[in-house]
Amino acid sequence: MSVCVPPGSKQFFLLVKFMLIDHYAQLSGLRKYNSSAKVAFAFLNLCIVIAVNKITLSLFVIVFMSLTALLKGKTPFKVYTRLMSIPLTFIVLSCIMIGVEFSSRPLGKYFISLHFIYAGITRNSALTAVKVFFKAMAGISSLYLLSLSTPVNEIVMVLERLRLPKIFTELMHLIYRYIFILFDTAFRMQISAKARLGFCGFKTSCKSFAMVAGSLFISALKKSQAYYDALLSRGYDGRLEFLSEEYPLKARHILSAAIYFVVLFLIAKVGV
Amino acid sequence: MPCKLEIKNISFAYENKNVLRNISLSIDPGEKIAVMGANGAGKSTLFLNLNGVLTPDTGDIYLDGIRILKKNRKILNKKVGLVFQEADSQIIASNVRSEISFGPINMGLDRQEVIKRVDEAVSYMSLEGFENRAPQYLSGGEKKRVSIADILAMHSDVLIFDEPMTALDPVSANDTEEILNKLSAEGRTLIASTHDSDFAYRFAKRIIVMCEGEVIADGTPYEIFSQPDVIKKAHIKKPVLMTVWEGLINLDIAGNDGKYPVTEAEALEMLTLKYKGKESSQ
Repeated sequence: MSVCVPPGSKQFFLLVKFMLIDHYAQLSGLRKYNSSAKVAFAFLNLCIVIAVNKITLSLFVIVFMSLTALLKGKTPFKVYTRLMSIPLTFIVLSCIMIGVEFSSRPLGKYFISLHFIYAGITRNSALTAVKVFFKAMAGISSLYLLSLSTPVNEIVMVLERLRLPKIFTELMHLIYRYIFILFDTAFRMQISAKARLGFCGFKTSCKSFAMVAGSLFISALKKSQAYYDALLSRGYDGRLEFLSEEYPLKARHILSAAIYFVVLFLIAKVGV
Repeated sequence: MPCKLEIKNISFAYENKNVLRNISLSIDPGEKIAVMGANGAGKSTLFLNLNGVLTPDTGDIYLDGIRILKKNRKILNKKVGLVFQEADSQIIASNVRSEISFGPINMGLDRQEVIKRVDEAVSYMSLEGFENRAPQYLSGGEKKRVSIADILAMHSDVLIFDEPMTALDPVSANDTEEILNKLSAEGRTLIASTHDSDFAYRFAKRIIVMCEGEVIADGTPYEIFSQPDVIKKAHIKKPVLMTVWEGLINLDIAGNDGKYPVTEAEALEMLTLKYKGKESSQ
């Protein structure tokens, strides 16, 4: 069975849709920046966003990260907004829950009576909700910048350099590699079922789905033996080790990051 | 230095099913061999035994006269490289460069040597520009080139290709065949399993035919494809060029001197020589 996905085919686009972020990371204009530096930058940025409780700082981070991803990283605007809209729903719902306070007596200027209790919004709860909203969005935008500019394999290599347990990074390598193959196999099986009217009604669809899932499990088991043979054939002795190299860290990148953090520091000092 | 590989009376069984039965072969350095046979004939299992992934139940394998035992089985991993039928079953790393480095790192080489070998293999297989690409963004032909580069980086003396042309488009198949011929011209021992008689006929100097775990024929392509009973038993086909040439001999167009062309170009050359010779004698 071939698992090659020809670029441009419908299957390719479906696969790309599934692994959208990684696909854009491969094409990013920031791809050839040192990945360890990118991970460090994103992590430090995240820490500052969490530690500093200022809306202006969060807003600055959101704008800066989004503009960098769009202009420098060349991520399409439509893709970026769609990606940002996924967590946005959860954050908005969570912030509503933070903003609304419940009490046995009326609270704040705006409240409604729910027979036995009152639900209302106070100035403090509204401010907390807005702060949490911008903080969460700032954190997400900085992690999106990392994942839209650094393919998963490079992030795994950085984690390896950080001396994370071998089992953890080895599993990440293998899962990242085989999730595409498994998805491709599942896709082919689904097409094969569809071609024989396997999804023409609810009952048939359920039956076909169960059959595809069962076959996929057996196919995964068989493939695992083939992969193990392939490992042994090249002298595998229980340790998965690969050559890891990365793009050089340039002085102008360090300088840009330093200027960015100085600006963040100033905003943290004087901003609201 | 290419090495001599010998197997003596090896047998292998999965559970209770005998897959290899009493096989003996001697493979000299620099040979170019095609292994043919129906699906389930035992070709892939034989290759896994030759590479040291599997250990024969009975019989012995010798590499340059050294008997391979369980304790020195790693020599086979190093000296006998195996390119799997499906590149996706072989590629394990998340980018091309890491993938090619896997074998040399397992051989215990130092980092500089690993980098040198990876660069050489990348250049040999024309994979420049693909080094940091993830396997899922490669085409079938490119994946095949990566899987061959994997083995080249290990500097194996004997290279085994399990159905190298499977699932490749004609251009990629042609490229792969050119690579095999280039490797052979450099003096490496090549063994390739195939169902494609035309490929086996023009590629190999020796063909081994397997059926139900046994070697039923071993000889030159002409010897193998001249035996109708072997062709029938092993579920293989006679090469088109050989069939056409025999037709031309019967029609007295081609000479019956026992010499068969291996490629279409060679056939054309032989016919041109014959007719030019006739014209000049007239």
